[in-house]
Amino acid sequence: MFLTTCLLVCSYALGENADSTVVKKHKVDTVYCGWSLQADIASPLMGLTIDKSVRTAEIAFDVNLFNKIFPTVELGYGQVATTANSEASYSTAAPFWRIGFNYNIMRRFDDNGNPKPTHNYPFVGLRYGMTVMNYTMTNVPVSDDYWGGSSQFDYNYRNAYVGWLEILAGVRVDLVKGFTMGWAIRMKMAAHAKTNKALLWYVPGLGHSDGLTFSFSYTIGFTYRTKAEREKVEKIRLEENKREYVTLKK
Amino acid sequence: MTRTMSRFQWFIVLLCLVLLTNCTTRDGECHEEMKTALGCELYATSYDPIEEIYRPASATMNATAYGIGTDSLLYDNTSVNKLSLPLNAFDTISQFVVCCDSLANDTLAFYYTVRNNVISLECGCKPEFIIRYFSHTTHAIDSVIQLSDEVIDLNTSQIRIYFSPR
Repeated sequence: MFLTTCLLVCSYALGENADSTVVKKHKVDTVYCGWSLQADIASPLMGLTIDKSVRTAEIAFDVNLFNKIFPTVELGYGQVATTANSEASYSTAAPFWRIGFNYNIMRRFDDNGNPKPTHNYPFVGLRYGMTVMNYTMTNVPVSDDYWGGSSQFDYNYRNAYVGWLEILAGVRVDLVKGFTMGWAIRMKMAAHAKTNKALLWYVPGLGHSDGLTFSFSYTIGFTYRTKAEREKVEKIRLEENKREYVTLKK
Repeated sequence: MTRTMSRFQWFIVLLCLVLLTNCTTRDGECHEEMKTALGCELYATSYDPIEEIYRPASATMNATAYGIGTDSLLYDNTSVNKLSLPLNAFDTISQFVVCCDSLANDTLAFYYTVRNNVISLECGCKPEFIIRYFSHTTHAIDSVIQLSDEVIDLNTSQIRIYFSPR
């Protein structure tokens, strides 16, 4: 059911002008349109308020190509220290990184075939995330109800590599003077781990390693647009103002 | 523009539906089965007068069983066709006394290695066993065969006990 709903979201978002029978000839668009640097504020806030056993911080850098594809690199650091109801404890601290891209699902060209600048847009994206972590699991209990007796075990693992896949969807919005805000919802799935997955209670950057996990990010940052993009924006604003003036005058 | 914004709104609605249908939460409790037991199928041998041979078949018997060294009964004259015998996770040998249908008592001894398998942080370790060899008395038991040497759950049978024809 999850895959079906995901496919519905992606297929709907990626479809363009399904009922159009005329193929418009678009003018050549600029390749490089700028870059953006964003910082996630949701994860640190949740670590300070809701789940104090998990502390995470991350930043993302992406490049704007054609106002459509945004190759992205994300870097972060996560720290976990928790004790379960079984009295077993888990702790780890490691950096993580992700590579991938976002895809702007808004139309890039207006009705006359002219490329439109990208300000506020919804996107979908893919990521491959990875981390190399040391972790410890202490006081893991084992007991025998019939014969009696109990014991505890400790596990230490060094340099465990974990890789995972992410599908995300979200929105990026321009505020003022290049400052942008955005949010995204991510679906994550552990692709592979060079260790016993049962021992990986929490992986920095991924979350809980069993099955699918979801996370929410809220970012603020700065977006730089090339001079050509800025001039395009200014030109379109002037034309929109002119059209409004003409409409009002009528 | 109106059509584009409408599509954008539908995108948000579908995204929310995906989230709602797939949200899972961890409650900090263990929801896994943490117990393992050695499964023993009970077989009785009966005479087939048509073909004039003794034929073994799965049998339901009134069984009494307990571990040697404990005070609690596992089965108290209970009607079963399979016994689940828990092995001692803190030893390498477990012995049981088994009596079926008020026949003579027999002793089964199992020698094994223990493997503590971590299930999760919430659940802890589940003891699993590799049977190395076993022995038994032959008062009511005719023979015992081994079906598998791994004891990792409550459902699988590892040995089959054949009782002597009466």
